[in-house]
Amino acid sequence: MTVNQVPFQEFRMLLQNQGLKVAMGPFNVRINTQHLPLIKQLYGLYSHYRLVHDEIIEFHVRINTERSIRNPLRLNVRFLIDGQSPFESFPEEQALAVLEWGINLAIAVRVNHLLLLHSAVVEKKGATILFPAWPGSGKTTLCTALCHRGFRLFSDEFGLMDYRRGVFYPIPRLMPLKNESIAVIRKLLPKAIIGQSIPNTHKGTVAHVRPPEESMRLSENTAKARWIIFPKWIAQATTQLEPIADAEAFMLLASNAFNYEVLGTSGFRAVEQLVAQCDCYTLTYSDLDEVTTALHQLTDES
Amino acid sequence: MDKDKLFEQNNHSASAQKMCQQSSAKKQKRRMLLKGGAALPVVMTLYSGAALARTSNITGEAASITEAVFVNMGNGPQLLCVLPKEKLDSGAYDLGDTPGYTLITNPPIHPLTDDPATILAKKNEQLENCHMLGGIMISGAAFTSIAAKTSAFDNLMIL
Amino acid sequence: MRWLSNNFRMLLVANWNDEYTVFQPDSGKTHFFNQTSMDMLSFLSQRPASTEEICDYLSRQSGQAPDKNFQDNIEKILYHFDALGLIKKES
Repeated sequence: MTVNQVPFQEFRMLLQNQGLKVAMGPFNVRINTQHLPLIKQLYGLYSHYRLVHDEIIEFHVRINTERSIRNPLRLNVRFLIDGQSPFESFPEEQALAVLEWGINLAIAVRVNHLLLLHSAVVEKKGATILFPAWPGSGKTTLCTALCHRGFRLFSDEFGLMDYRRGVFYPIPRLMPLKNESIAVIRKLLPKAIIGQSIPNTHKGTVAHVRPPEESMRLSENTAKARWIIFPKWIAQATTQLEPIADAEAFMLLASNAFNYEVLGTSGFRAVEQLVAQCDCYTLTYSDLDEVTTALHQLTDES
Repeated sequence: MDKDKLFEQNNHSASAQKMCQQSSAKKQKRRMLLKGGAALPVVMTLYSGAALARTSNITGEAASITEAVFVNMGNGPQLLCVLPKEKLDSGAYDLGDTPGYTLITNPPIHPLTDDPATILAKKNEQLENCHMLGGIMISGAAFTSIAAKTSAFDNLMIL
Repeated sequence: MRWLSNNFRMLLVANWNDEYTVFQPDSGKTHFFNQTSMDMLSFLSQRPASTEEICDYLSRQSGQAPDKNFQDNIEKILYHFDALGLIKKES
């Protein structure tokens, strides 16, 4: 059962009482909040998330409201995981962004049974493209465009590699567009479901894209990696895919993983396996139409 | 590559064919990171904590003085001494949204007249002075990642 | 003074067309080596050698005469290897 099969009142009751339990890729998350504006946003954007019953919950998270110390007339929201608050409170308008960042943080810090890459991942014909990238490289924008144009969304943020099996787990979630990319995607993908803009966050204005229904429906279907592409958005740049040396790809990928050092030997072997099985490129681009065409061509010709 | 050439590529041009051939023959291509294959030995070590620094302004202190960033504003190398907001339980440092820093000028280093051992000793003295201010040295990798996300280091020129 | 490798057999090595990524379990660090660096370490894993002997071996490998600049560079790398714990001085 998915969220959109539940009446809003029931959805609200779940969030306000025993918790809304939803699957996010290989993890189950229980969310509690009393904050009605957030509940309304989640109902629209989480509509294809699968509800979880009688399964182990990995992350118990909560968004609480509290009075601002500086301005008691204002409400702030605070993210809690297992009752602990890992960062400061934020203005209530930012509740959705805070919830999503909090879940990101929980995954980044706590998951060590998988190789955890800071990477967008999409799939086509049973093989994935990894887009490992620094913040600001445009990977969320690129990923949003691709997953609405023929690629299946695995994640705009995390490459979750089960290195024992050599496969990636999908973890399709909301995709937080930032600043100028919001208008770009609204224009490029008028049918994409995008939440309201949240201004003045520490990353500027953020708006969340709802993952495509098909990607959510197939979110238990794993796949092997076939391409590793290090993307960089550069204004006015033409689309260029350039092969890079395997050793360079190795060092870039290892430095991109959240938990490479924690995994030690297993991390080294996992990255070695990935580079050995993938074609590795750098990608510069500015035009999302062009880059989408180029990536379809790459995957179709393999 | 201009737009016309890109269009060619997107329509199965020779360059696209080549790219495809390259993909299928990947392991025979012998692409190398060091062009031409250097006769001199080259060693590069992955900076510890690089991934963490890329996603936040949290970093560890550089592993050794040889990895630290020195800035030369015309008066010889000066240690970039970053002033962390707080030290985390993990031992890493949170530098905050806009990391603060100071350049350590004492003792002055004269790269043209000081011998390598003297330079190294002076760099270590600069590090001690940085620690006395509650600062840390950071590696080039951490510097680059933080500089990419903030304007904190915009006025610095790296030696 | 002579150098010898330190736990060479424990290193995990991935060979990428004569470039190498190397995991050093005792420090947890990952290194990139080119062929010459790998030749140096491999040579020192066979037997202890002085800087001059290493230079002589590498120059024969590459077909280049071992000039002063070459020897200085080799010496720098040896000290760097030492700092990384990849080699040690013969006691």
